[in-house]
Amino acid sequence: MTAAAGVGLTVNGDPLTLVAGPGATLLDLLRGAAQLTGSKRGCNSGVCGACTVLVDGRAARACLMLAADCAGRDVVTVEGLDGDPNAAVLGEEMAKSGAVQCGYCTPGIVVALTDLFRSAVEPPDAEAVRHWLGGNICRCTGYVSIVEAAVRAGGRCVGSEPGLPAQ
Amino acid sequence: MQLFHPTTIDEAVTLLAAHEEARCIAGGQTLVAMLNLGLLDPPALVSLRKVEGLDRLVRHAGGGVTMGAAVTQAALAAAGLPGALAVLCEAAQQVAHPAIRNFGTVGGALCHADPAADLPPAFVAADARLTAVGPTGERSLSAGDFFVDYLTTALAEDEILTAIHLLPPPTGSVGAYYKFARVDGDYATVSVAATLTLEGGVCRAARIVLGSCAAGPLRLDAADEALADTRPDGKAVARAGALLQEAAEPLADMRGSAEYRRRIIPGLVARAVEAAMAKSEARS
Repeated sequence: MTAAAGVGLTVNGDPLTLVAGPGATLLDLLRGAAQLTGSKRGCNSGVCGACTVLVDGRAARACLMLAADCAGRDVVTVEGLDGDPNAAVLGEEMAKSGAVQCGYCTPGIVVALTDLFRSAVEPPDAEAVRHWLGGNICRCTGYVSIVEAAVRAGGRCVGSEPGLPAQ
Repeated sequence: MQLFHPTTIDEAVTLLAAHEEARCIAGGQTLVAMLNLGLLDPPALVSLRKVEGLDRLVRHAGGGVTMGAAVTQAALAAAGLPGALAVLCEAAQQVAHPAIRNFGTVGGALCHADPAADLPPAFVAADARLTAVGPTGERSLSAGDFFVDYLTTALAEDEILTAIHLLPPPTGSVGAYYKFARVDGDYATVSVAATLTLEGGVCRAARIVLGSCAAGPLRLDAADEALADTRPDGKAVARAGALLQEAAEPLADMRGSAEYRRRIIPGLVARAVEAAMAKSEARS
């Protein structure tokens, strides 16, 4: 494509055709045409993790995917996790721990942890959570409460209640 | 910027040749970041995402492996390759973060040829052979000859890396990747990829390759020979480490000064060799 073109993809279960300019990323598409501003633009270069979404069931950096290369893909943003049982448990535990400060990193962390809970075979310990979240930066540096909440939520989610069907 | 989606290698090669300064894009985990930062503005991109079979990892009878250039780093990390080839999986496990590895490809990381990246030294240590396809046909080159300079490979502008081949690892071979980085998921300050072929505790052949210590992966015949036909003990390993230290020409950046990097080389070589040896002991 040379000019703006329609990209057909599924976002949070809805089949959409969104207009993307050349060089636009999936993050541009989500925050712009799709009006889903849960995914945050932090570094725009794949370092901070604030734009983490699920693409074809796997955690992805929305800022590192060309929109036009997402044709036919299945994208789930933090908005699409509304109703996901693992995300609900995580939300409860994060509120209990005070794991949200300015909140900018929170959507990316919720998506990344939901991916972890869905794929883990046993509840992750603090070290596993820290390793998994290595690519999600919290500039408020509130890591201790985030990790605490994630470990407690993982204990409740992994290997007990089934979350979304395995991809 | 035009974006093309060829479905065959031939089609991709034709598109690449037809558009001056066009680039290939696979996972895009480095390339899109460079586009976003304005470091790169190619008139055309040839996406390899829909090229049939390019994401396949094939295990041959006897232990050899062929992987398409678009195999993801996550797939390689989880492949559980045997013997010396474990060095590839260990390196892939330490590339950036899970979301990056899910889409970042092996071929992309090799073609970007960042001297601080994890996969280039590992593929040199595993003595991989790479297949490149261009308008005049296919050619094969060793991983050692592939890395030419900072961010520069032996690929011609109209060539595409399509596959990576690994011979069956020798009986008794082990591999390990030891990465020293300031924080989890960062580029290496210094990394060491090591493969050893052991026979009753004696090292018959070794390939020790440094990352982040030169314009590309750094391997020295003399250092590998220093380990050959020894029980890789303190003295032989120290000799290999000293030779590599002498040959290293690291850059200074926020991850460490050149002098600091040079200084930690022998210690990290020792840790990598020790990690590889430990696997051999665990096996026997």
